[in-house]
Amino acid sequence: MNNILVAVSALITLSIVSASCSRKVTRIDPSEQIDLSGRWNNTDSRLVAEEMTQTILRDKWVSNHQESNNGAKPVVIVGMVTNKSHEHIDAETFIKDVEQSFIQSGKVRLVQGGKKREELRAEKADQQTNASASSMKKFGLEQGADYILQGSINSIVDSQKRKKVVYYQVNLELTNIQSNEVVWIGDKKIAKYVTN
Amino acid sequence: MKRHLLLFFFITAFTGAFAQTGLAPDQNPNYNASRDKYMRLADSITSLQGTTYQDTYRAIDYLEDKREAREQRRQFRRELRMERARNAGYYYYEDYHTPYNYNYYPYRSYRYYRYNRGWYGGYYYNNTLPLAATLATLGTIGWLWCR
Repeated sequence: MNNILVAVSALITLSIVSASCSRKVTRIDPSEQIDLSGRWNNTDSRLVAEEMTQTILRDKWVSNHQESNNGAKPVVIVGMVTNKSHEHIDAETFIKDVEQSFIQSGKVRLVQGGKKREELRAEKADQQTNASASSMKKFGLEQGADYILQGSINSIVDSQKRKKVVYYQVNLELTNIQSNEVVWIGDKKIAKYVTN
Repeated sequence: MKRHLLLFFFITAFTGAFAQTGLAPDQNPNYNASRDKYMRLADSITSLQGTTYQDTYRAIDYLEDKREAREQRRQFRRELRMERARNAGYYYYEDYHTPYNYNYYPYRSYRYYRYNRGWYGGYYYNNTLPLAATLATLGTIGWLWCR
């Protein structure tokens, strides 16, 4: 009896290990919608990116800026995004798309901020003692931003037993750094109905 | 004396006018207070630019709560098994087969009894449970490893 129990346990263990090790990985199209858990995923990020990139460049804030600044293109810096939802969400996945659209459109200029700017300044500092005089970059000649892009992610969860409705709202705001005037607000609302 | 006073007046007026030229039209003359404050804070604030500040909350979610409770139960049982395996023999003997505890045996819950099925009537006849538990643990570790 005991030997049978041991043999069965060993067999089950081996079968679990062997079955779980038969992993299969396939490449998929990043634009393909695959929802597994109902949580925030790449499709949501993509939808937000599409919405934001479409609306931010079409809005009149670009032309308004050019009119009041002798045709100069607005300069934007990306600020902080606050995730106030119930899930860990990194905004960089869609913010980068927005930044990319700025550069590709040629209508908006983008300056680096945060840690990357620190790195740039550190590199500049390094050049002061290591680079040749002709190639050394000077301090105090950075392009100042006219606008800062900030954002927030909020969510509402309504669940009952095995059913759940999750609502996400992503907001991006563009604010004039000089006057604090908000010149553009973009939002993307995503609602999901999840049943288990 | 009159000349000195006149000179002082001109100097004061000139200095004041010069200071005023540093202000943009309609600029608050007390802007220095704010500037000095944020000059000190700028480095720490701007270092977060381009990042996502995680200020998440815990949503009321029936299934998620259930899953966490299940995980906690599993963790507890795992620790209990490990503890029992560490104290094998001594623990059970003290619990069931001393004269003081023996009479409590029929009132144990099924689950509690089930863990101790290897022990019966004060006679240890079987040690397959720790072995099976070890195999199951190894299997689980293997499964998690390969997942």
